[in-house]
Amino acid sequence: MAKYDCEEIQELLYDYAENLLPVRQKTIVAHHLGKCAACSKELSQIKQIISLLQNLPEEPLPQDFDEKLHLALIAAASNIDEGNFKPKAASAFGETVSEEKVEPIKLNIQDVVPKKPIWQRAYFPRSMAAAIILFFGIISASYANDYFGFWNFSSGKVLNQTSSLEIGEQPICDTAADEGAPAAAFTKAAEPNTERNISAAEGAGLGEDALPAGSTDNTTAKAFPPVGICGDAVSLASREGSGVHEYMPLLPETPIKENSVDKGSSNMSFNSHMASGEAADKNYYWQDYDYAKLMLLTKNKEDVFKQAAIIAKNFKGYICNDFYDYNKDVALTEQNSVMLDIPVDDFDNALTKLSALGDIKSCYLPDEDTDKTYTFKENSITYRSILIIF
Amino acid sequence: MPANAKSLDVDLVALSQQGDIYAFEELIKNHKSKIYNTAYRLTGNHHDASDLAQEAIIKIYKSITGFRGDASFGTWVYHIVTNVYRDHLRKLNRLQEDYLDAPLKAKENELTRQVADNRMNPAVLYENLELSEYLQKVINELPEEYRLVIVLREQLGYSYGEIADKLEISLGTVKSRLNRARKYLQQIILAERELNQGLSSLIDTRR
Repeated sequence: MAKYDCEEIQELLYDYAENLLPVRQKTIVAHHLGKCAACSKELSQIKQIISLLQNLPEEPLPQDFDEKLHLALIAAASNIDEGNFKPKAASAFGETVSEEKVEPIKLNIQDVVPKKPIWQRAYFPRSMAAAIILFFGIISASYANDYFGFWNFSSGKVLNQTSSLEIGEQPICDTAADEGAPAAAFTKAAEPNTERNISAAEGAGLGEDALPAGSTDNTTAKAFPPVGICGDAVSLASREGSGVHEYMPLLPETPIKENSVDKGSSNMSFNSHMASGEAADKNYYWQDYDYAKLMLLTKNKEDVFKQAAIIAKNFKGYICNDFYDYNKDVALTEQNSVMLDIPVDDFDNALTKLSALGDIKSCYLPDEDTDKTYTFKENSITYRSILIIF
Repeated sequence: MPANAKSLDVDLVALSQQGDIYAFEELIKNHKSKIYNTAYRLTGNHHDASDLAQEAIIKIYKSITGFRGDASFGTWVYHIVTNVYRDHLRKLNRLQEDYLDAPLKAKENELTRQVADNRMNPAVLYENLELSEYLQKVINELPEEYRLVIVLREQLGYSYGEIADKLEISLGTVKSRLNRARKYLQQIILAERELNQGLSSLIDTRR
């Protein structure tokens, strides 16, 4: 048997502790350990270290870990994190705009911009002339307004014409232009809807009344209301025309109906309409309950999701996907899963109903899922249960 | 776990492969903690650990179409996690090469590296800090390569051969890194006799 000194033995102790040594070396080490107290102590320390490392307590996940992960997954799913993000060509109107239209026109700036100083350029005299004429035009128009009053915006009739004219003109509608809406939508928005225009006019009238009479800013104040209305009307029209709410908020919105536009209302904007109280749909009670979550997976999503939405509604729950059209009760998702929020008290009943939607392939319901302590909190959304229906 | 948990996993994998985020999150739910913990042992702070673990999980999501079910999902997951950690380490190493036992080149004599001891007195620390926190502090002082090997071995339970394979280093390197790292921890943690006794009583109670 070869002689080993303590240093050599200690080199082997880690492997010995993990039982990795070949039999021959193992016996040598064991034999040495029987005689050498220092090496035995070393071994016990090694074992302690290994045990310590293997038994490190688990660190809890940071609170915002799931939330951040979810956002990162959404980003990953749409490839925006790798810099190859292509804006989706689909417009808010469900119409697909072809890629060529989206692509910016490439201009060679050197070709377009001459290097002459500005006053030597060919268009300089013409533009100066235009500017002067325009200047005098504006001055005379504002005087005409003050002296003759034939551009009096406070008359609802005149305003009505102005309003529809402005709506018909695309470039003024900033809101719509921002939304990248195709021209067809504008035509739809511009269709004279008497009801809307009248109330729009009233809105404008009210807006003007609110201004101090005889204010020096009168001219500008008068010039602006139609544009504002235009933005509102178009944004409203675009919502109506699309019926699609991309990026739905967690809480469902109420569909706006044509006849629900309040003629007496001084403001037509979508948000204030929502705030008016009339809009709070009585099918939803989201503030009043503790919710448990249920994830529903299915291959037959068209049917199952629709029925699931109805069942959820019956139990005062709702579908809480990011993509969900509450007007049509259709999940606007490519995915085969929806998340349902169902009040905890009715969870079991809802589950029974949901189970009847089809053959259940698997149903994963850990005990804690229906526990009332797992109540709905916006920031700690985790899945309570899974139901797979095929 | 219900008896049909495995079939659930298969369904979830299928849905995840179609890009279903919710299904994927459900699938990764049981692995999240381990992925995070290994990242934490590796990076030594919660902020970086969070980023690294997230990076690993996103990588898993992106590569899940490549998962054919040959290995178990868990095995496959930690294979990817290891790759992400290894790449993370390589990125760091491009910035800084550092070996615990690398002799410092002085003019004539080679000096053994003295690792700066900016910790408090171990006994005080032991009283003030949780054992795990203390241990993590010590682990943090290891160079990253050593940390990775330790994490792979002790946290993920890989064999030496598997570590060598995954990190593309020789078996001897794995062994020597592991042993040096452990030796280092041993010296730091167990040098003090009192501390030693305190720890062993703690370890005994943990068992």
